[in-house]
Amino acid sequence: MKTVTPTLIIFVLAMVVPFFTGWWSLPILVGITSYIFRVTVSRATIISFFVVFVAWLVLTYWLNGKFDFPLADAMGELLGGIGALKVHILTALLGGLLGGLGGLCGSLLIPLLHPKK
Amino acid sequence: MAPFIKFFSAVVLTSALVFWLNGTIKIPGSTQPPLGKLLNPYSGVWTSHTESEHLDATYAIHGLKAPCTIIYDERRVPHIEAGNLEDALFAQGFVEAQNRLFQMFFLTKVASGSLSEFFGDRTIAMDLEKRRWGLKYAAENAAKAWETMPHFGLIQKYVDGINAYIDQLDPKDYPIEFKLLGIKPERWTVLHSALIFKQMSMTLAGMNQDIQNTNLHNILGDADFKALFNPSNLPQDPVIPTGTTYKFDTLFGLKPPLRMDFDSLIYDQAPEEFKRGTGSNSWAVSGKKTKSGHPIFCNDPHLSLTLPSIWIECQMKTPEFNTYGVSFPGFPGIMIGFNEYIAWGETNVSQEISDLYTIKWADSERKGYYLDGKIVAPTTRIETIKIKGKPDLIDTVYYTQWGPIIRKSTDSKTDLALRWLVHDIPDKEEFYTFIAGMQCQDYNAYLDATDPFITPAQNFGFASSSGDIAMRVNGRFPAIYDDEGRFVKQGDRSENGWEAFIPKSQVPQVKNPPRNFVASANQKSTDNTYPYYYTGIFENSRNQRINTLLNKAENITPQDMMSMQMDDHSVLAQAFLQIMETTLTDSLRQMSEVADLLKWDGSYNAKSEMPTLFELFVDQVQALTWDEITDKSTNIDTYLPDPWRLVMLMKKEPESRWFDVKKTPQIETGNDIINDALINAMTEKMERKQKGLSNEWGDFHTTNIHHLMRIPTFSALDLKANGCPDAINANAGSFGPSWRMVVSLDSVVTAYGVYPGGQSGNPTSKYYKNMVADWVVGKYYALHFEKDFAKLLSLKTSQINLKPLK
Repeated sequence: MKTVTPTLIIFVLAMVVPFFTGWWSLPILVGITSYIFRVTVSRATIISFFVVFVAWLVLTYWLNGKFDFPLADAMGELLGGIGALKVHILTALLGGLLGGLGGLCGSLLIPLLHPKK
Repeated sequence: MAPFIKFFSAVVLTSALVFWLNGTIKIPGSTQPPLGKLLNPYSGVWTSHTESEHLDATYAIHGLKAPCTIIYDERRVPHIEAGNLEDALFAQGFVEAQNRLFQMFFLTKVASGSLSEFFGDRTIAMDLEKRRWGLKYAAENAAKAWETMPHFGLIQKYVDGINAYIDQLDPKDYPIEFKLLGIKPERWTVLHSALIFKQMSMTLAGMNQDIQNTNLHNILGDADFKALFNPSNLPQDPVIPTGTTYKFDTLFGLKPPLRMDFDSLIYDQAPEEFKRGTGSNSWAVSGKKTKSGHPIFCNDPHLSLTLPSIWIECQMKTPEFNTYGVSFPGFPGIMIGFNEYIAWGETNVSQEISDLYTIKWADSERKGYYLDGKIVAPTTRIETIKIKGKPDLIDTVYYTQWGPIIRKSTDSKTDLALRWLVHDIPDKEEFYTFIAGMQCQDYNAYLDATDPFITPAQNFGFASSSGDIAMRVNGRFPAIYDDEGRFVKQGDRSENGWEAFIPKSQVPQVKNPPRNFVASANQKSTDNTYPYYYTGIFENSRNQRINTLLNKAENITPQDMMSMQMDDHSVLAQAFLQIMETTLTDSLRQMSEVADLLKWDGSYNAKSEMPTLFELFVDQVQALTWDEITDKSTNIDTYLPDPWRLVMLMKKEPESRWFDVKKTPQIETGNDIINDALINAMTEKMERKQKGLSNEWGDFHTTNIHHLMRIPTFSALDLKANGCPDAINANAGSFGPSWRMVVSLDSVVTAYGVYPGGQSGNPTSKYYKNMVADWVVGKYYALHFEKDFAKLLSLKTSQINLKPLK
């Protein structure tokens, strides 16, 4: 139960906020969430990775559907002929990596600001 | 590990990843776009969709005098309704940026020789050529001069319109190519527009055959060179009808020249070759030849076929004028179009307006060159070419009295300098030509409007609803001696320069000729009675076909003119076929393929194999006949005589020594060459078939419309289209009819048009290449030229409202 709320919050944040604040803000948002909810290092890293991975996958499929054009296929061709699916997965992996590292940073901030006595 | 070190390490790692994915940190040598910027779903390529193309929008903008409305129709043609000319041009800039921002940016980088900054070392040669030809130097000269001219404020308004769009642009809305390159648009200036103009000047007036002609003169000698390469005695029908009398003599006491620099010079590499197929058709027929009794005007400029297209359509309406047509994105006004009173268009004049001069250096460091017995110091321009992933390339370009050195010798003794009209500081408002032209109501006004045009010289075609048709060879031309300008000249004597320019009152022009039509197809401007000498690279086939068809035509309708623009008949093929009728051996005639060829009507239909066989045949005839040239010029730059020279020789001198193939013991005649060439061509065609290659013309000669960055999925490739450079439908593969327009100047003007592309520059838009398939088959669109914009509402796909911000 401890991880459900931050999971949901990270998902919602990843789906909405960087549209306004810039993609680079994602690890900061995830980090703050992990810090606020005191998520442990391993959980923060893994959960953030997977949640952002899924969020970016959902976003890219949704946005790709807005085109009258096979954008993912075109991008796959430009990225060395890797195919549309791999473009989605590559994008999601980048997001996951950013999210995971953001979560890691946030969770590592906890012992720094709240040392165990 | 202490908590701080752990946290700090994680932050450093995360920051490094973000900076790398953003492109802030670069791996040396890497040319990959920053993946985070490119692929993130918030502002990367995933947001480059085209939903906004279907949404109305209102922008409050500084710089407008009054509100302005833009209605996009069902083909995304913007119809601009503005309160005055300035606001109309502002809106034109705005919509061009909205639809073609990357194309505009890209073309300025092409012109300024700056592509390598984005594409790495594969574009260095192209950049170096542009820098050495001084295209940016020419644009700077123009932009600076324009600033001092009375109508500068108008081009500035257009520039402001472009920037108004750029300024409100969110990174997520950048055109997809900017995201792929990981860059952002730069603000537009008048210099950018000048670069676009100069780039077009290079395409249309950058041809120069001085090097090849000098080489050929040295290989062949004076008599043979003049016999084979005289553009004046080839079969063609000039722009200004033969028989026109010129009631003036040259104004200048020109001395005969003794100043070609042959000197046994042999050059191994020439400037960019003039592309066969660059050119245009334009004609106007008077009401006496049309069914309606009103003139019809037609124009199809042959330029690079690219995606996005080189043209963008637009209607502009104010209380003072109402006009429709096409323009180059990045340059104001309507270049080819019509209004309620007149229609106009252009074809390239194709006269050479450049000369090459030898520069003899006094020292190996190029500190001084000889001129009139003195040593003169050149000025230098340091050109820094940024190269993606590599150190900058520094190139010093030396400017002499003649112009920039475009060819450096390895021993630093003798270089070649370019005298090019395009470099000259303009003394007239050339940028205003198309702004003024689109507002004219009669021919006198149109003559005044187009008077400032300098270069690239164009045949300005005209028709009016009042019944006039006209054509003017418009531009600035040096007054030169016979044969001057064909060869490299000695640059150590200033008397070898141009002495004067032909006054505008003496440039060739015609109005309402007795034949009831005017036409141009890049052929010679005049017959040989025109008092001034000129040279260039002239077309010899299309003009004959156009004039033959127009001479015969009566009761012409716009549909007839559309069919004529799609005509794929080659008179060159027809001429060769006539020769074959009398020269082929009986054994060859009995072959079914030869019988088919002899029955062929010379039409370059994509599904026919005959054009392929004919083209292979012509290549063989050229190779067998001109072995004297090709054998001697394996390491030097030359070109072959025009195919019409072969036709003339075959007809008049079939025993000519040129037909003898040097490597065979027997002496060949023209008849032998025809038969041998056909056998070789059939063998080649058979071999292609055996390899599984299709010999249909549309497969042999595919039409490819490349995206500017040559990205295949953003291109339209392997199109099977009719036509060839010698046909009116001058489809040369990646060059050809870039805009087909037919305007009937009835009491209510009706017009039709199509180009191979689409209005949107966004490769993901449904308006990106929606017209390509229709262009291939020759379908035209009725152009919505309305006075009352309320009539456009049923066609509206979106509307932009521009409101002045006080």
